[in-house]
Amino acid sequence: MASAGSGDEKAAAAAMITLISSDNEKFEVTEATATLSQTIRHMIEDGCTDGGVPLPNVTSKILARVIEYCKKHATAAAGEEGSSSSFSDAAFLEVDRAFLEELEEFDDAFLEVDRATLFDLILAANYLDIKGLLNLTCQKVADSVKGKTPEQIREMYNIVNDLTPEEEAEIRRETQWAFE
Amino acid sequence: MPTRSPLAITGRRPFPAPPPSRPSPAAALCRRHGLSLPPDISESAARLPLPDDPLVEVLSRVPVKDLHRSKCVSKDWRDLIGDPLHRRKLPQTLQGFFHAGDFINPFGGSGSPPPVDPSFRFLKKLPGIGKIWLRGSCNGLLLFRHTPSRTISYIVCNPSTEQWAAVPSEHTPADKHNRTSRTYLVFDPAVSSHFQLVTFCEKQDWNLATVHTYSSKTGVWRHSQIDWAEEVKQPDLWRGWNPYISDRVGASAFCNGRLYFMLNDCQIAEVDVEGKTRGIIPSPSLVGRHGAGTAECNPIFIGQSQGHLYCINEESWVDKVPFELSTDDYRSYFDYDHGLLSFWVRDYDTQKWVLKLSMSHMHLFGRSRYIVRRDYEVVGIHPDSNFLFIYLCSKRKLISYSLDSKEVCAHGTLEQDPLWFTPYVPCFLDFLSVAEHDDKLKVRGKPSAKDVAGAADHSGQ
Repeated sequence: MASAGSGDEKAAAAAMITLISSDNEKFEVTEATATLSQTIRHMIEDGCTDGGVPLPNVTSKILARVIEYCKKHATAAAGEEGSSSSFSDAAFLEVDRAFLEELEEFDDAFLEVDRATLFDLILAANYLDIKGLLNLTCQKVADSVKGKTPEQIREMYNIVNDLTPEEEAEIRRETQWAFE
Repeated sequence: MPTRSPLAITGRRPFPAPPPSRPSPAAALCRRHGLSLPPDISESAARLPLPDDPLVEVLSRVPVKDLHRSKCVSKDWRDLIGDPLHRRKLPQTLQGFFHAGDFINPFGGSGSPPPVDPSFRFLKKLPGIGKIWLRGSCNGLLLFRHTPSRTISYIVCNPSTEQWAAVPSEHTPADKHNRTSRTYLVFDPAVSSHFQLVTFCEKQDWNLATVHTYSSKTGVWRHSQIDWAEEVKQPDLWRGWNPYISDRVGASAFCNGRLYFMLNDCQIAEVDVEGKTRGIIPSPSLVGRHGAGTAECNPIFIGQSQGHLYCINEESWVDKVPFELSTDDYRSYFDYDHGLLSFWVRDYDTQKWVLKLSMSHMHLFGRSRYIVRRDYEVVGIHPDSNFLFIYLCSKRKLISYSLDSKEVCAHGTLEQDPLWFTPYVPCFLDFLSVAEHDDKLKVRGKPSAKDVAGAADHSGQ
């Protein structure tokens, strides 16, 4: 990092951030990709990313997925910015729609993971403060709860009912309207 | 206080018995031996493998009905969903009704405290506030008429956050002949943090009404006129002489950005938040068959539930039940019954009323010939489920009726006769900055709440 080079090289070097997973794997990403994470954005602003950013809560397996998401969404964001100045309105809308569709497809495919990975992604998105990823992953879990009975939710997520029968009867009475 | 027993007229349980809880074999084994659960089991057993914050993020995206039902999943879920810390994030639902200085939560256990102080002491103790009368509610905000004051006509407040705003008088010289005025509060936190007031001032037996609309964003009243005779010409269905707004309980609703209120002659006006009429909707038609000259159809309630407009009709002197309703269940009631209630929902695509259900007075009240206003009032519909709340005047009882299970359930006896019921769904978002609102009024040379408070302090000295 400290080695002197041409101006271009310096700019390129400065724009790269090294993320270090809990199992010590290093990932080089552009600043645009990294700053989708508010947590990392603040670290960059505070100038404490030299020597890499250790992320002790995120494994390399999860971090790789998170970076995949951030790369795609950072490109999309950059594409939108660029297109707004270089296309006519109609062309811009067309490109915009294509981008959104592609992004949606990417998101759908991205969510095709097992349950444990999904929860790990939520934890990482929460820790790294990546709004879009948190929304995407939490919505997936929320959708799985929709229209389910408490018994089905417990079964689905292997949750033990630790309510006493009296406590459960009390809740059912208070939320009687929701059980119709 | 709410009672746990359903009305004797159904003889059914108000809710299904909870199934016995089934702890996992490993957890049961640990409990039997008095062992604490090993960490991996307790982790997966107690909840989703997520700490509070991300779990709240997940739960905040679950629809309100599913969310409240899922309190039954485990202690952890119950506590998290009920925790005041998270209520800003989680969707809220109907808590109950304000009535005559009190509050009733139909589903609350006996002795459960009201969610806010129903006598609104925090408002009354403010200097400069005179007498206040609760006039309505909308998505967490309450509307009070303020008297006697020429400068402040209304107080709008959020009792959950104790934020409030004073609204100046709307009257113009054109109002001096108008005898009755009706003001509706409009607030949709999903759309804007600002509220609106829409006031109609009208003189009975006169078609012209003045319309005043107020927005907390601009801090000013706008004035216009409405000619009901012109408005009702359009549908060509008007049979009455002079159109006017019904003063019935439950005669208005705010649904999908539009205000609906009942006019006389079985019509419903659809008005936007600027006070412009967007349509006159005839109320739903008759369901039962009636003998010549005795048919009476009466829309008695409109309300919003799950994003739809509902209308309830009362039909009396029904001779014959329509064929599609004459199942055994219905026949047994209708054989000796003369009245029914029909429940309709508005289909926005076809612009038509769709019959959801009709039900005899006998089934609902345990006797026939019950008459709205004298014997009962429909006071509200649950905003997130198909539950209807009805007040039985002579028994001073609040009952609910489920449009799904068709069960009637008693929710308690009131100590005194309420003149009105105001539904309450809490809102924990900042609805407006009071200081900002006061500053806007000041710029326009109108007295702000602070000025009035100051003046009151001064006169008191």
